[in-house]
Amino acid sequence: MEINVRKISDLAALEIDEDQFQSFEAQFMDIVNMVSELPECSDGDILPEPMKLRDDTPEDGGVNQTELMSNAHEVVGNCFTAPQTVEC
Amino acid sequence: MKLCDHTALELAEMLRKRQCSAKEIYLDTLQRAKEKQDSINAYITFNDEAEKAAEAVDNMLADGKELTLIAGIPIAVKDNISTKGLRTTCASKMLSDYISPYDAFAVERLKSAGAVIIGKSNMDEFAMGSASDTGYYGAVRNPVNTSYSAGGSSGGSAASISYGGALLALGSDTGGSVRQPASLCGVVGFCPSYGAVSRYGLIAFASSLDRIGAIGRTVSDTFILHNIINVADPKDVTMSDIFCSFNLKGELKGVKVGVVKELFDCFMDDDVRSSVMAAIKLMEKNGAVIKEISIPSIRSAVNAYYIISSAEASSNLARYDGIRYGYRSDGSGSLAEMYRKSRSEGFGTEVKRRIMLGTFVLSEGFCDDYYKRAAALRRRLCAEFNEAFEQCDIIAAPVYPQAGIKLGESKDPIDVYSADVFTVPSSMAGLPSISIPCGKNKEGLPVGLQLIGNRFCDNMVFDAAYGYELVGGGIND
Repeated sequence: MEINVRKISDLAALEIDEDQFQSFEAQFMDIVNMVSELPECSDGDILPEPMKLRDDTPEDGGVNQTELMSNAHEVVGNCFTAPQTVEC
Repeated sequence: MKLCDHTALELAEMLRKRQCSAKEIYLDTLQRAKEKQDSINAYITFNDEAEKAAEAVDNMLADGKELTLIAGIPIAVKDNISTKGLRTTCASKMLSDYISPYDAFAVERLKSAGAVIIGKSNMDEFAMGSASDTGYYGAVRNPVNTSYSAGGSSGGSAASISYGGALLALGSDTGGSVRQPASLCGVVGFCPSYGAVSRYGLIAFASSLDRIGAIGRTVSDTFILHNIINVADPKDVTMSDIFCSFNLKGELKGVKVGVVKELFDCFMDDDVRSSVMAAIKLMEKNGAVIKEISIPSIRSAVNAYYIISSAEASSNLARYDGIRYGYRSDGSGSLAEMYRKSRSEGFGTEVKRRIMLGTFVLSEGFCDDYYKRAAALRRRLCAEFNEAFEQCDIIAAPVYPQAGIKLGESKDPIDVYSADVFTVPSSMAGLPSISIPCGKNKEGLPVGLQLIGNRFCDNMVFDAAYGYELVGGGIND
């Protein structure tokens, strides 16, 4: 089984420091090998218990917009900011 | 003996008899917490509003108002449980400045019961770890021997209870994170049935496994805290509506205690094995009926757990993008680069490892071989537990294979993960379980006994643990 750890880190939007990559990759492969040891389970006769769901009712959460935005890195005109994505 | 060396129930009685004030209890406990902070590192943030909360309880007492048993009791809250106006960091650089605009449901319950939240306790980053050594704020040391870890991930909560820096604590348990540090610090840690305590405001790691648990010095203390937070909350869709009032009796006579042969075939230190077996024998001597049982899938649970919990973590932690909250890297160019750099600089190595494992097991071509097989094993395990509980009332097991985790030693992740073998099976099945002290190893490090009950039989777990405590177990000297 071939696993491309760099591709996985790209998918997860994560970078691994280059000087640690080799050991990280080796440990990652060990973990994948460990978790792959699962017995075959034919569980066709075991049905998961369906979860009871409540109605999805909108209600006032008691938190205002200013409070909700107060943890953002930057807020301009009541909007979150992000790097420019469209070239002018 | 200082006030903080009493149990919570003793202090509740002393408060009512006017033998001390809530403010005196708080100041005494805070002093102990601050004295030990440099050596143990149990706290990330102390609560500046705590003294006012203690004074409010004293005023209520003076007015003759009726109080709950936890009113005026200093309580530590794990730093992944949201507290309005007090930062909630998850021990991560990613959330080092995050101040929640709302309280978790469990915290709301504590506040309305008059508890004094002394501070936010240290932990593994995003609750991912077993030694409270993966966090941004440094490792939590074991008060019994500071060369050792307090265990994880709720290490700060368990350690603070052990040394008197809090009387009660909230932790969170995804695969053993309340029970393991409780075992290693020699205190009592309870993980409720999945659905018994609202997860609202608990910062998500693996949503199908996360639970908020109570930690105390005795079973009775832990029980009173659990009773405060074991209340229906419509904000958590997975909450159950099964609640019943219950008084601890501690009856062991006729209680059928199952011993899972597959678990006792696993590696564990000799001192752990002998302490747990001695505890089981003590229960038998006092009327419990011991039965050997088999749960064939139980040893594979740990592999399935790391697949499922990492898959859920990769999804839950995708929200940290540096936009709405959390760390943002300076000097990023494009949007994609900002996401990548913010996440790479904001998360530590263990969190990255889990996110990547989750990304892998959910990726095209691997999902069937990993995630779906793990989910199937989980269903099989639940069915096997159901069969087991037709033969017994309670399952007894170790909590952790060792009595101590030495700090500073290089550890292979697969060894760390494999050591969760005793706690993750009940996590996967959503079962209630408790860790209660049952002995010490040759170096004096505590060992815990785990008691597991059937789903929503939380009271039975508490009662069996209380029974064990009454006949001489559970001593933490």
